[in-house]
Amino acid sequence: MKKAIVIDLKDNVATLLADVYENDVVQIMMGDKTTETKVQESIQFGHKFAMETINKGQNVVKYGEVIGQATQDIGEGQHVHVHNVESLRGRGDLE
Amino acid sequence: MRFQGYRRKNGGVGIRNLVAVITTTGCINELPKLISQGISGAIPLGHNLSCSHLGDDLEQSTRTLTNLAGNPNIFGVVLVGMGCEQMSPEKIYQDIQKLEKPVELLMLKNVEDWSELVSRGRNAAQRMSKEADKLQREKVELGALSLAIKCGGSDTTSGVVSNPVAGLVADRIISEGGTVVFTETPEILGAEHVLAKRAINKDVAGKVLAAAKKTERRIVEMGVDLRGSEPTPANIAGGLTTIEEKSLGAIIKAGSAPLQGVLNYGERPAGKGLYFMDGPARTAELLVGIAATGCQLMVFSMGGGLPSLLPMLPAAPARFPLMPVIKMSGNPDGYEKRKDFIDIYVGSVIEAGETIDQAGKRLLQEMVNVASEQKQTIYEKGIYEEPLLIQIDGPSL
Repeated sequence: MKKAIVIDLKDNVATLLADVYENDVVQIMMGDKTTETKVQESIQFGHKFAMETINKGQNVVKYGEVIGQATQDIGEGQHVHVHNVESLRGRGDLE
Repeated sequence: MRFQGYRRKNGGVGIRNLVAVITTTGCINELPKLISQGISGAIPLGHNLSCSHLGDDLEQSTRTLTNLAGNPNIFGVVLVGMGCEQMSPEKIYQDIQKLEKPVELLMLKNVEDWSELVSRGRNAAQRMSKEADKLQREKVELGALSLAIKCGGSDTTSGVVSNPVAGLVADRIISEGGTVVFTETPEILGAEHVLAKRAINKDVAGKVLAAAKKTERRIVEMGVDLRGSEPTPANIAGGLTTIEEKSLGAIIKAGSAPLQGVLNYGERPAGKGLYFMDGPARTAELLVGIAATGCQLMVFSMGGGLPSLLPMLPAAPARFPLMPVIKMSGNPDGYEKRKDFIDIYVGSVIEAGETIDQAGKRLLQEMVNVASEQKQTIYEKGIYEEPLLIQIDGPSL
């Protein structure tokens, strides 16, 4: 089965270790535990999907730390990347 | 576990036995090339700096050049100066002498014609090369290593495979009494608070945060959005979404040891253990700065996106004989396409159920083989040479 990895129990995203297609069931490895979930769209190897709903403005968490903020609502099983997440660092454009 | 190295008079251990022809000004970069040509073990170390050092840059340049000369992979130095440069050849010569390293100083102002300097330089280099050849490698403990770790071509496998493998080896080297240096300040943004928590005291923690703040402030002052350059387009294609994500994955390569200190660019650590060098992520400048801290060997932890997928030249941007570089990748797709450009593959952690621990043991063996010169890295097959790029922080006048 196609696999994904969750690095820290506080994370709300999983990182794919295979290319997946819409409705594929993915085995998620979280430390010693594994669970299964269905992805909502086709996503590339190495990219992330949401483990739960992440609302616009909410923190995206990986490695147990904030890696950015959602710029729109993201549903569980959806692709999480530059189209719906923004970084909060080095934002000279915001000054 | 031991490797075969050259014990130096001052207690350092080299894994290579070079004669370095170094210039104190980039105006005469051709001379190291002419002097070292064809002499066994001799390498030219010209660079980008001449006059017009501003403020702290003079100190940074002098420190970096002196410490490069002090790298234990260098048996002896032929130092070539002009007489009008801002860096002081005499001072650098004296500082190299203090390191108990054979060194000769040749000055352009003391000859009638530059060709005279070339023949004197070649005589000196040949003498040193013969002396160096008399040295034998001895069995040396792992703790004599000062390991540099860099990441590049990162994607999300970096934080999951190759950086954890590097981190495991970093912990092992440190537990044996050795040193590990990592750098790339732009790539701790978003993770600096995690590093600061591991600092041995408040002073070091403060320095980590200050280094990150200084870099971020410079970016913001320019009014640019960092997202244009960090993560890079290649990182983004590979799945890295933000600099925070990239940095949190990047710092894993440094393992879990307490952070002993923050080094200025090209500065030598005061003791053993884990150190962070405040410096750029750009390869050319990075290699120079980290080699100056005294690292004999580098592990280059790679993902699998571009540039790994391009038909890369063995050494980019140029060969760097001063410090062998071991390229490691944990991305199965990248490896399939470019196995000729990777020294050690650890994507077996993803594909074949290898543990990080097992991959770490393989990396350690690779390091021992490369250190003992029983194996040549892909980087060492590079032919193209160019002057060193020494990082300066002030404007180029």
